[in-house]
Amino acid sequence: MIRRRLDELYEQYGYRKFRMSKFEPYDLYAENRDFLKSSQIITFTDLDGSLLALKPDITISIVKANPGKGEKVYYRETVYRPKDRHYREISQAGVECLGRIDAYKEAELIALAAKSLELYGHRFVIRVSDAAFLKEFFHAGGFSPEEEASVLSCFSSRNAKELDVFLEARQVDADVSGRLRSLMELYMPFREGVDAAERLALSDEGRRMAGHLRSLCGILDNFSVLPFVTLDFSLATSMDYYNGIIFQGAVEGIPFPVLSGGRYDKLPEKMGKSLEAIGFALYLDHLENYLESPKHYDVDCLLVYKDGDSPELIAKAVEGIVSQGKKVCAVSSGGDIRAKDIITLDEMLGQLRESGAG
Amino acid sequence: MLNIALPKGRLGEQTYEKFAQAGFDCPQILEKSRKLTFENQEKGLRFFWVKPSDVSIYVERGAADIGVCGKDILLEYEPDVYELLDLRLGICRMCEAGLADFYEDGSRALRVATKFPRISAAYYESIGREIDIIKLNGSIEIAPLLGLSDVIVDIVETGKTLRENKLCVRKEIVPISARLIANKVSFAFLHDEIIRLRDGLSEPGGKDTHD
Repeated sequence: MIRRRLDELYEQYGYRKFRMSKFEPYDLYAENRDFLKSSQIITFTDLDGSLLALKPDITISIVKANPGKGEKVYYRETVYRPKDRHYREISQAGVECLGRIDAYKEAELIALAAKSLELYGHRFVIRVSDAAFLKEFFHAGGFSPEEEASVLSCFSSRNAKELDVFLEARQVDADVSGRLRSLMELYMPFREGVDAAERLALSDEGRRMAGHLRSLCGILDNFSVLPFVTLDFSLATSMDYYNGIIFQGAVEGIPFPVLSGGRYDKLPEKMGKSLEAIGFALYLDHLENYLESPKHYDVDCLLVYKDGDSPELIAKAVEGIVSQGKKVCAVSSGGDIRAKDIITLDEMLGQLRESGAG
Repeated sequence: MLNIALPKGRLGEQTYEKFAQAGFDCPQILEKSRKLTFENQEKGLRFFWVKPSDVSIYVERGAADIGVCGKDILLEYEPDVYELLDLRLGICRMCEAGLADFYEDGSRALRVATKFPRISAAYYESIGREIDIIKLNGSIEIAPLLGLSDVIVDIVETGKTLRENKLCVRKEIVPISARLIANKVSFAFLHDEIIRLRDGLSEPGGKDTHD
């Protein structure tokens, strides 16, 4: 099963399994609401009257539990979140790296994201963007926070028309407008993309940030994942959560992103810890619902017996089938069970006699 | 193979014509038949017709890689898709309309009948007007006549239907036209094909300009 291979992968790279209980004090989530996808949380009262919540997120708990030291952890947990107007149990796996985050660690996380998706054996892509680079561009271009939000909303839908309308209405300088349009259009293999981003940067600081992205190329190449990585600034969601690299993974055949992550130094800062942080989560439900080959039957073998057949002989026949490494269901009538083979008790006993004789 | 969802009806036919002119054709589609999907193997295209308001669902969930749908649908349902091009077809306006002699009492909530509750709510919120939304599924024009609502928010193309019902446009909320949309994951895996199609469709009128 792939879930176990994910665990093995993360352990190979020195990540330790993080386990947590199903619930945390509600206050933990109330205080860090900005870092949650939704503020709707399942709450209940503990025996002493304090308010608890079923965990909607794992990262917050990992940062909370961290004693202020560097650590590398992974998890496989269930979170409880609203989806389609109902609460759902959602299976997630994820990896978090806390401490001082350097270029190596950033690249390692992107590489682990790529290697996670590689396990599923389909075409996949990791799209990478950089919130810090975009912020610096807006800063150097003199955009207000509201203008920034409008531009980002065009970016996330790659809406060139709306972006043009906006830039013209605000009479944004033609050179800046042109660069912004090119940044939005940009969708390139990582190394080439970084070169383009460097040319489009407005300030020395922006070019320095592009230089940082370039330093990841060589590391990703040595992890053998560079060909799977694409630079794409349309990945502009959750810009208030992430403060640097943002990345998302997709697998061909699944219409939604199945992995998302990035650099999130603001969460530990908010929780009063002097840590930097980067991590990602893998949406196992999407991956398994869309990719794992559907089963075509419930059991390998349906053993059908009649009223009056000897229970001892049925047991003997069942054990005989199980010993062949097959799954068997013994029934007196077929019912709704789908089986690869159907065999009657008499046939099975006949087979056993033959093999016993032979 | 690029899967393309087109909206049934006049807009879809205009859209297909535009695709065909740009070289993304599928002659089968013009034959009268009961088929639901139409393929041009050579060009790697598969077209299918769906209800206009469903196009964005097909695209968002990846059953279609790209599709064509009205900006009204995109604003109302906010599907998580890329909006790659304004096709400048199906041009119309989302408007507030009411009876010619309607007097708006600003101290009371405005009763608004519409098929587009989200667009309406966002618009009135933006101008700070308190409203009472009445969601209808059709024949919106009749609502003010029968006193069900004060005004309606609906798509206006020529204004003929409004005039026939003695209604007139009071405010224009947002211009509407058909947009080329793409699934975000398909965009990654079929990037070159999708960009070729987008650029092909934007060429005839030159650059994707707007007025």
